Amino acid sequence: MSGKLETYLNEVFAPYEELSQMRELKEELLHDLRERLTDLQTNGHSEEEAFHMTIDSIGDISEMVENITAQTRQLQQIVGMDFSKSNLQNSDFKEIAVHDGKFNYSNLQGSDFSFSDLTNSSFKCSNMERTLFHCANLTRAQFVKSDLKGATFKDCLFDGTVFRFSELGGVCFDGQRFVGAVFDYSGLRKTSFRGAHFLHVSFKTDVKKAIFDGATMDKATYALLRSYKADLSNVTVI
Amino acid sequence: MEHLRISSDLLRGHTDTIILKLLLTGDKYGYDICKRVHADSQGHYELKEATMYSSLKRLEQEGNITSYWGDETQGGRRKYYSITAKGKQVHAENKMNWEHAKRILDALI
Repeated sequence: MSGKLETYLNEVFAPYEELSQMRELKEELLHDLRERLTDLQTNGHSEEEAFHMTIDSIGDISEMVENITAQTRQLQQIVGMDFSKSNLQNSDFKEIAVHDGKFNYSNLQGSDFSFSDLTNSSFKCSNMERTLFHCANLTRAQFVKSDLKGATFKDCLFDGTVFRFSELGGVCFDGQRFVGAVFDYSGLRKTSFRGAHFLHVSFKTDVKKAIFDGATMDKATYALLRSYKADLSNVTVI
Repeated sequence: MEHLRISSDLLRGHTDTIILKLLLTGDKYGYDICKRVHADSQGHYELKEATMYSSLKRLEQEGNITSYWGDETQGGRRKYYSITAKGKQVHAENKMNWEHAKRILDALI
């Protein structure tokens, strides 16, 4: 029965195994649940009954995971901002072409990158709340540990674009096309991909609250999303 | 059932303070906190692990508690939580706020 608990937790924590904080939490939780399981059985509950009561005692595990990873992301961004030399709030970067540009540890809140070419550029630990990306070329651009809450993406080129450990909750990617893009460990709570197209896209993260209605995707992307329990009820596989 | 659910929402809003209070009397680990909440509420409130750990991690990040791994050799390691001076202050403030709110609610409800 205790092995069954471990299997259950391994499955729930699978998307976060690279985060040391989550590995520790899994160890703590496993210890607690084993003790609870033993207590319940000592009090006369059957093995099966005790197992279900134990699982039930956890509560909303996805909410907990989301809270904790969001806190981690926020913290990393704040640490990054301490080194910030460039306060570029509300800047106008329209139509710029900056291949291999570096926008690390920057405050880019509300900046406009519309019609820009940002191929190979990197955005690490940056505050990018409410940034605008209309018709931007984001080929192989990297967004790492950045906060993109309220950002707008329209008609962008997402070819090999990487979003890792970044906050994209509530962002709208409706109708966009993603080839070889990566969303690993990013916050996708209520992120919308309605009618989007995916080819070889990686989603190693919590996607249960992301929206994929009307999206089309290749089999590999579909299989990955399914294993992370995304809602794929209205998706076309190509 | 409905009224029970609402009262548990009301209690959940005070999870941080409930945990801080338990830690005032000594360091504790996760399951120990759950058990004591259950016992101290005479079985009326069951603190879910998910709610508890969200709160513990938040309290730790805010500097209200610290944690360390125990040195148990049997049955796996336990992580203990310990209240800081700042945590004690936060508990006292929250308790005062609650007393204040309680007086207002008692007069209004």
